Amino acid sequence: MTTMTPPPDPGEAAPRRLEPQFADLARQEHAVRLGMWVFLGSEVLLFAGLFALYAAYRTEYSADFTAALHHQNLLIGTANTFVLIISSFTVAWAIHRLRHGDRRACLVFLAITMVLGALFLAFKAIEYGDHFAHGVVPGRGYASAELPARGARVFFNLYFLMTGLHALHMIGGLAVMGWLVTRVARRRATPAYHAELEMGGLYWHLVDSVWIFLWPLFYLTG
Amino acid sequence: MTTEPKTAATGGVHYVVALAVLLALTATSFALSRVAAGGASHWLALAIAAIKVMVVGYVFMHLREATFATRLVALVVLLFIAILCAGIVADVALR
Amino acid sequence: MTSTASYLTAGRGLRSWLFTRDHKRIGILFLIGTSGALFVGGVFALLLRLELLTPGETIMGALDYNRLFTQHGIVMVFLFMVPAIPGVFGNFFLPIMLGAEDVAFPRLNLASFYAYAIGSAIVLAALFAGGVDTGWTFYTPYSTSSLTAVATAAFGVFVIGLSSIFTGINFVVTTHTLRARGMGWMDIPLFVWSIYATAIIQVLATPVLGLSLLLVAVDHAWGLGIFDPAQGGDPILFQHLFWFYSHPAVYIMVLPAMGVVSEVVCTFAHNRPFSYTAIALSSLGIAFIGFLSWGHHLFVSGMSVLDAGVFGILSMFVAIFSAIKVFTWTATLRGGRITFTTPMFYFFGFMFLFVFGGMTGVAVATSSLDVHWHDTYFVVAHFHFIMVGGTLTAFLAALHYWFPKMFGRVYSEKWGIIGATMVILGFAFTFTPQFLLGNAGMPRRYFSYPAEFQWLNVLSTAGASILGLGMAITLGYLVYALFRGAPAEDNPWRSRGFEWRTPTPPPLHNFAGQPEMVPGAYDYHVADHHDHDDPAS
Repeated sequence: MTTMTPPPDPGEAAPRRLEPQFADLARQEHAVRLGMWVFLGSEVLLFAGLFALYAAYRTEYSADFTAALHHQNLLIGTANTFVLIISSFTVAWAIHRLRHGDRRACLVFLAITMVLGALFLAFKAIEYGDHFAHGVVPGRGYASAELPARGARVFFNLYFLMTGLHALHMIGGLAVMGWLVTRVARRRATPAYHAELEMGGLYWHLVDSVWIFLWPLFYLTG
Repeated sequence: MTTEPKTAATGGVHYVVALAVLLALTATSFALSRVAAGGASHWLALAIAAIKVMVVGYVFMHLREATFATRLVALVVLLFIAILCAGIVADVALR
Repeated sequence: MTSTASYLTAGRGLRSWLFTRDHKRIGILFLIGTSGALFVGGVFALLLRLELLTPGETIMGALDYNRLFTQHGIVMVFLFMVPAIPGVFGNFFLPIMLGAEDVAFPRLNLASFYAYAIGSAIVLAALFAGGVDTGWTFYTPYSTSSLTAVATAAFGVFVIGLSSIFTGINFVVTTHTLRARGMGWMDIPLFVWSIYATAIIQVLATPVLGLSLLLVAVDHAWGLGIFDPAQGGDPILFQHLFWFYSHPAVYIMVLPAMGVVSEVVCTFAHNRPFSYTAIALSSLGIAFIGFLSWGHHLFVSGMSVLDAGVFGILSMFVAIFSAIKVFTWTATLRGGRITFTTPMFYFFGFMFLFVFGGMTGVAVATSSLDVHWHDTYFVVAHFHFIMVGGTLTAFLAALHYWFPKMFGRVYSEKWGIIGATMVILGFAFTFTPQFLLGNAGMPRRYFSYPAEFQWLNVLSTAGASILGLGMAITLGYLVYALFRGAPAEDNPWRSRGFEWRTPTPPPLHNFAGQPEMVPGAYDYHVADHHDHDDPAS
């Protein structure tokens, strides 16, 4: 059902996307990729501040953090880790297929990525709902009967901040994926030039990487 | 891709291998957290996470085919995260 | 339009400016924005000095004073000093100095300006919505409980931070990918080196500031208590995050200034830099060490004594790199043919203020001495010498140095030197008494003081008046020159810099044809056909 022959792109489509300040498309792509990495570096440092806070508070409230970790939903957290790792693969595979001219497979794998991303958010919503039902909420309303300690409250404040910021990035990533689907479907992103797809993929992998660290910090008991 | 390296044309086995490694590492990390106890297992989990992120970066994020400048960005960012966390934690731990 | 039409005339009407992607026009937009911020912040400063003319209430009470010094700090730091030199001169000249047609991402560049404009509007709106009284540092836990418009102002600064990150990304990538054919890393002009080092700091540090301000705003709204000791939080952690940005931010302000100074000294000494490598690499050194010294702001906050000692020593390393630059600039003068122009006056002003401010910086980096000086006017005088004395003088040097190229007009050198003299002397007059006040124990951020401090405060206010008048004169003759100035030559200073090899004002795509990059930007020892009209050669 898949036709493996690359769709013959109109030859002028790619050069039209060359911005005048660049000598050629290769240079432009290098610049776009470097720019994206610098942007990702900036994003990572946004999270790094929160990781530093986590490390500092964990040093201060070691016992409270361990107690709070035992009340986390390990099943959902672990399932979400698997979901995101698989989604990272699917987006990488989508780009790989497009590089080889297989536009259809690219679209399929982008769609799978979006489904996995939505699944992650759905799990996250269930988990938040469960927390709220037990009085574990961010800020003033915190009223957990099982974990009344100050340190536990700090733990959950950080938990909501870090997973919340991560979830916002997931929503952003889903929007990017949706946009990329239209770019590929309309043949704006072609096997010859699809920098936006590469950049969207990089962003998705970054969000995945952040979660890879959030998982041991907020779910795995030491 | 205008500057496509030869390696990417070989069918993309490395993506599948990377996925398998990532899934295996995740399972290992999960199992260790159930079995082992004590402070060391926490560091072990973080070390495994670091390896996973390196796999994601090297294979999925195409650092394996990236220019020196791009790799440098990744390294510099890691260095600055270390500086930020170390400076803050050192204060809290030594206060 | 033809490719040789000046960027000023290529495209007319307001729309062609507001939606421009030309880095030069975006630079001009930043010039308008940052100059406006400088004016507003300057008026605030004069009002503060007026209040401090006499002990007790002079023109305002304690609450208004708290709001005013906060707004002065926020406007000057985030709306003027951080974006000024990179936003205006970095945008205008970095691509030209690299022989590029534009920055790597022109749309992102325009977005950067709009993020700056919107963020500034939000910050100024906070001013009218009750103001902010926390000081520009937004220290917790007071900032999370203050009833003033803290959340609005913090959000505004966050948006300006986006502008800074966008600009930084653009400059890093442009320097890496758009150098003219054959231009190696050791051929790029020194201004580009310093803007590049600045861009790295902007990209890596600004998100941490964004995060800490976001946490303050979220805390303010939902009572997270993440930094509130009553709820298990640790206020010192906010200070760590805040200064992880805000200390390197000092180098965001002063590194571009150093770049300007490097260009100015070479041009007006008509000499090669004593060591190109030393100036270029010490910029990177400052950028790196700048990230290892934030803890010196926390000496008396209750941080670990060992950590304080380590941060103190690391802070002093900054002085080594700064001294490398200062000695190299001084040595560049030796054997040169020095022309005394307005930019050169600002160069000498910069050297004095920067060295003096830097030396007192080493003093306050000593944690035992800092206990005495912390939160006094000594610190106020120190950072004004470095940040304002460094950045403002270099901003004015850059404005005069590149004015003919940017606008194709010549300003009055006579009035320029009068203005520069008043600004530099007025500045020194304003802040030297404040060193004495601080050492005598006058704390900062109070609207009143004991009567024995009055004579020094009167001196300081007098100095501020001279400075204000000098700035007004400068504004006056520059605006006059903008409309009535004589037309400028392509290279009025006989500089070898790449930006002087293009027509004045530059055409839309910077160069008419292939840019000429030989001889190098500082090759004053090589004869060149561009010098045929140099009267001294």
